[in-house]
Amino acid sequence: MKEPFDSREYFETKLSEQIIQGRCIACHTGSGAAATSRLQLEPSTTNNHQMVNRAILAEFLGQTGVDSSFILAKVQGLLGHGGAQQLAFGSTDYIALAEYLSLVTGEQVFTDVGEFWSGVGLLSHKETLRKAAIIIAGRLPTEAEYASVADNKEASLKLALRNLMQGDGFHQFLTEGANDRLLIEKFLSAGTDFLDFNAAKLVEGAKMRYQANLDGNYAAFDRNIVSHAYEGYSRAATELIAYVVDNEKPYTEILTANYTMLNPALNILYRGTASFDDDANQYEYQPGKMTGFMLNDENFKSEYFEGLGLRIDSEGQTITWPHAGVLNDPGFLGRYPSTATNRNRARSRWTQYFFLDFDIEKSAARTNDPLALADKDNPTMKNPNCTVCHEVMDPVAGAFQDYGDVGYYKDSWLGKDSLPDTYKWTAGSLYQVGDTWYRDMRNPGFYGQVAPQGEDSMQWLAKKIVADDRFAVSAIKFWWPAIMGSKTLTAPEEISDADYTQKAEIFSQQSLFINHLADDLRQHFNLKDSLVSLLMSPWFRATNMSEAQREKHASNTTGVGMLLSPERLDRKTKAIVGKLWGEHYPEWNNYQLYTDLQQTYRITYGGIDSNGVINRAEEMTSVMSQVALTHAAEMSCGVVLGDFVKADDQRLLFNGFSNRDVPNIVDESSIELKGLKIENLQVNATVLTLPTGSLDLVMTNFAKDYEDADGVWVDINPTIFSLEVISVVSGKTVASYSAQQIFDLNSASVSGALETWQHPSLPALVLYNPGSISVPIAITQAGEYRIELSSYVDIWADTYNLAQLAQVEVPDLAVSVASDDVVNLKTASSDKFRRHLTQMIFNFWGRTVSPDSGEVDDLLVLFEQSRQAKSTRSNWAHIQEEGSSCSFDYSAYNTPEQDGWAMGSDPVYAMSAWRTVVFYLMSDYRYLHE
Amino acid sequence: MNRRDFMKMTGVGSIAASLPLSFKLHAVDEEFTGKFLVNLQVEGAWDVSSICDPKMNVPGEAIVNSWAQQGETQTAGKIHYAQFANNAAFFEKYYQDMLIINGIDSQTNSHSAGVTHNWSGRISAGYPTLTALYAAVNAPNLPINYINNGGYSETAGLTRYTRLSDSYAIKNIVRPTESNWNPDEKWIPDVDNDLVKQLRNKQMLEKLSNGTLTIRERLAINNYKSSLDNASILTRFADELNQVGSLYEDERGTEFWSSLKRQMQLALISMKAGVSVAADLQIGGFDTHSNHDVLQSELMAHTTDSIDFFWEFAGQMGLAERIVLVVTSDFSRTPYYNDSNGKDHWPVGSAIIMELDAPWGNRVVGLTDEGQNVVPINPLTLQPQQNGGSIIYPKHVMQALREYMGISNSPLLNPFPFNNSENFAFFNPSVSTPQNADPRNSIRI
Repeated sequence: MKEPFDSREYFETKLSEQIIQGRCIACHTGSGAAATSRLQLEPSTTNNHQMVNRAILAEFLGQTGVDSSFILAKVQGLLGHGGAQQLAFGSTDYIALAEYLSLVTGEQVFTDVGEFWSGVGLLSHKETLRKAAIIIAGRLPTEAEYASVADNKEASLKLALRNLMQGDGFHQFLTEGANDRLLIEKFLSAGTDFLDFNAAKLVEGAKMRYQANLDGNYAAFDRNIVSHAYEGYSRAATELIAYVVDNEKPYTEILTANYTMLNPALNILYRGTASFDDDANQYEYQPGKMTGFMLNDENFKSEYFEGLGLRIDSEGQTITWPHAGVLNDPGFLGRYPSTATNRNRARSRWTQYFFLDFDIEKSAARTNDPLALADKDNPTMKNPNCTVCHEVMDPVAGAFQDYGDVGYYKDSWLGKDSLPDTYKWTAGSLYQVGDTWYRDMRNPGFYGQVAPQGEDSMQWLAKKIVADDRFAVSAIKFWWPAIMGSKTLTAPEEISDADYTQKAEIFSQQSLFINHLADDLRQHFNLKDSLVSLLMSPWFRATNMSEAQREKHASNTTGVGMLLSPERLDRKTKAIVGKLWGEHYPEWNNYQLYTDLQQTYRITYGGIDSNGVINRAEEMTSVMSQVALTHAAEMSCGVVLGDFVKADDQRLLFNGFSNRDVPNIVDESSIELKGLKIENLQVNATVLTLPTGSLDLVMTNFAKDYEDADGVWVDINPTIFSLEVISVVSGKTVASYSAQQIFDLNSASVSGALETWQHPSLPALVLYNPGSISVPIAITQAGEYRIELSSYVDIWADTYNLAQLAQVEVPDLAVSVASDDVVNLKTASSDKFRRHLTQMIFNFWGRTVSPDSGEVDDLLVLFEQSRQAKSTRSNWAHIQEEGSSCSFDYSAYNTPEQDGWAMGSDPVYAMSAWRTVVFYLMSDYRYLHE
Repeated sequence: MNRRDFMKMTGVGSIAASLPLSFKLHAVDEEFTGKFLVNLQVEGAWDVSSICDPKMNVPGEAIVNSWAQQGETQTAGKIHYAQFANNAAFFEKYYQDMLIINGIDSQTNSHSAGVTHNWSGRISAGYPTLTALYAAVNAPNLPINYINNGGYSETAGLTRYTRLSDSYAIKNIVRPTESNWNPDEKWIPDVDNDLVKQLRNKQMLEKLSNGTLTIRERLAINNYKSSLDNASILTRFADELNQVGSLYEDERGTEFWSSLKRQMQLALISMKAGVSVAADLQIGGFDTHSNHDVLQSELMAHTTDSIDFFWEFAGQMGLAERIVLVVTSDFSRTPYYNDSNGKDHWPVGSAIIMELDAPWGNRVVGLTDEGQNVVPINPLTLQPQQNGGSIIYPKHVMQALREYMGISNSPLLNPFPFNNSENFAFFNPSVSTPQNADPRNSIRI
């Protein structure tokens, strides 16, 4: 229950200074940017300003369409507020304003922030850790990491998340996330004038190129230095951000760093000061300064030779670049270039957009008043229609005064300034020798402060920006898309829109959260802590919601269900199955990784090129869905086979499984095949314990076709004349099959034939190659059953030495009994499969399910259906079959004794079934989204 | 499960959820027989005084156009055009097939606001493009119903856009389980693929029937399911691509590169294949704050040449009679040069609407004076009317196009009304706006 309070006192103690004079007065005055709005307040210099402003507010509340909600929406940036967001929903000032308005109007206002996430379920700690690891580290957590969050304590999860923030995967997350915003990697596929050696700014590059041409080594120079320098130029800014975050330096250093990040090639061209662990590793970035940027002063002498380039006869003064973090990173300056009339305003706009959470383009509608537009009397200084934006934009533009259109430092002749000749040397120009900025523009500065003489204005600006409260807000917003997979919301503007209310509430809640994180970031400026907070939040972890909450969250596209980018899907696949789609390292790509998702299908699958396509797809399309299916289809066979060929303890997917394991075995044994000649035909038998029901008796031959057995090439062919299943208890025969009948039941898939050459009147089923045959048996009485095979082993060999032949090891015939009802079967093998599939579901999809869940049932059924289908259509006993393809290099496994093709041997089609399961897991929406 | 049940189950949030259920149930016409809608987004702001709203220079005032110092305003049929770039060839060939709308007031000279305003009809964010609306109304289930090439692409959640940039990549993935180099070989045998399809579908339907999914997960399932369901006819697109063979490579100028002709080819091929009904094409580089004449000349020539190519290629594909092409930009450029021989932003621009042998062709609607300021007109007679006349805003153009394309009565458009107090008779062949209201427009100095 709120205590009653006096509205005047409340206004004077909670609103007047904090909000009215602290926020509103910046624009809402008769001469301010909001001079044309309906609200004009009085500054604190006005007598009785508190009383006057209370009266103005009261009068304002009486105007058409104005009530408490209207004002509270405007201060949040909603309804097209020209001053954008001034107060975040739920902040102290916001609640103070809301309570005041409620008091003076009697209207109910909404200030409760606690209700928004009630009824919304979150990922468990283990699930959160997994999702976070995939997003920010490009891997799955280790068992130890999972164990660390098993206590379900918040502190444990925070620590585990924090510990993910290291290593190459996290570094990649940082550089990728930063580039998604800054888009400087455009230059990986587009030229840049900054590295144009004819301009002779990078004097070392000009000299090296001239010498390389003279020596006929230009191709090597281009390949070994220039191409890597382009990469370094494109990545320096994002590498700097990553370096700051990786090393837990104050995040402010992304703008204040007095160094840049260099790879060896750029270090050479810049005459950099970086030192490397491996000078030959062009993908190593280290901090350093650029000391070789040359001014074209009077000492500079050169001559251009066609085909050779610029011969530098005398260097001009070289300077140490006055680094100011990202702000004067050459790539950043190149990505946001200027022109003679733009005068660094674009750089100002983007700087404020990225680092001050201020979008000038949206801050105030530009005038379309013909008179104002036609005003040529320096309107950006004098015309209120124009000054509204230019007074905040132009001083910051001025702080970039030393950088020309391309990004060169003081690029004019003699290296005194970067002013264009069109300004300096036209009739009536205000230019005076020694000027470094335009006299018809505002002085270099920052929101009312003028950059001091004698201090580098760029470095000064960097310090001003990071000291501004908005810098921390911008930092959270900068990283929001990388964590959440969606952009931060913009304030809805039209109250008549059908979804205005929903969007306004989400926007308010998001703003509140971001501002809380920003408040926290200002205390320590360690971005990792902020990233942990983002990962811990419901915005990242929301996984279900009650029916009642769905309407409220109708515009909330955060939480579970983030579409993975091509790069993230690639890394996830690598982490889970150990391979990448189309992974190779071609010479033309400098032996760097090339994959289908990151290169061939990157744009088609919703990725960006940082140039024409700059927004990542957030929703699946039909074309993208086919890329996803192709990804899963092409990979699945190679993934399964590639895992099975590894030693068990090296496997990612199928450790503890053999290619003979199937889930529906009720009992199994083996039969030693005795009798090496027809004359030794005998009954070979084993005993199985069987339950009641319709079962399949499966016999699997593992003897390979014509293989080397200790120097003797042998072909071992188990040969069956008949089969009987006899109850041990009753002695009754419950099933009996002749070779003919067995063959008829397996004619499509058996790798063998019905032969009569052994015995003219007694056909025999000769099993030529590894594979399985099965016959149905109906068991009405559970118990032990004797499986009797009238059989012998037919052996062909390249020796007549019977003694040697007798030493040949003949593999036993595996005998198992399988149930058709894999779902209801409760055996050790089915339990093993259920546990394994449960783990696979968690790894692939991040979903925690019970081994007895419907999802696991479905996978078991899929496995068996796929296996049975292949058993009835193929006799290859191999993961491949007629008309199939598999992305697996068998030849890599060729040995003198064995063809690599044998690695795909699949006698019971377990690997084939796993391939189908993996295809399904990788093509499900839960694999493609997180 | 029938479509009604499915849509009920998949209903997601935002505006889409507020639509009447009846809309979501409308029949899907996979064999689309209507018109195709193509919007060419000319980004950066073209100089309409150098193309379809030609301005000569006024004695004693700043030069509006350098070309007007030697050239003249030209006329093709009833359409005036600037003697600039390759305009002559373009207008002489197509004047009968085009409607020029001049004097469109974008009410801004901010790029982002101009883009939003001209391609959605509203300066505030949130309204979908005309092309997105058209695709959502006419072909919600076609796999590439709406193509966007990287320009303004707001869909308001009604449909999803597809980027078509790499024909090679698309050809490779339309039959996902087949090997690219040997279609007779399968990565996944058909039997297994069918098993997986069934299970995937079953799981998605089960999930969608779960009332506790987050909005995002529900949307993800819905999008993936519909994407898969609709994808099968992408093979037609691949077949058409194979028929056409090689596509246009990027073209480059002094300061631009363009994939416009390839965008056009891919859009038309997809329409021919029956998988698309609407496309946004994009050409950028028009923000010529310096070196204006050189850059705009190159870009304008490239653009008009490309439009010519578009119609020729559409003819080859047998689609030319079914296409409506709308050409618009952020706004326009100042009627004077700055110190860098550039032109800055100007809010009053133009649109070109094209359809072969259109009865409303060979006409100009709307007017600007010699300073490229809007002259109000009567919305019905289209005659200049300084007092009480109306100004053309993007919403008027959008509304007229919605009506002309036959989608204005769809309930899908209910959440996106325009507050027009008047409708302009843009498509009334019997009226047009005379272009010589200010005689100085034709004076050469």
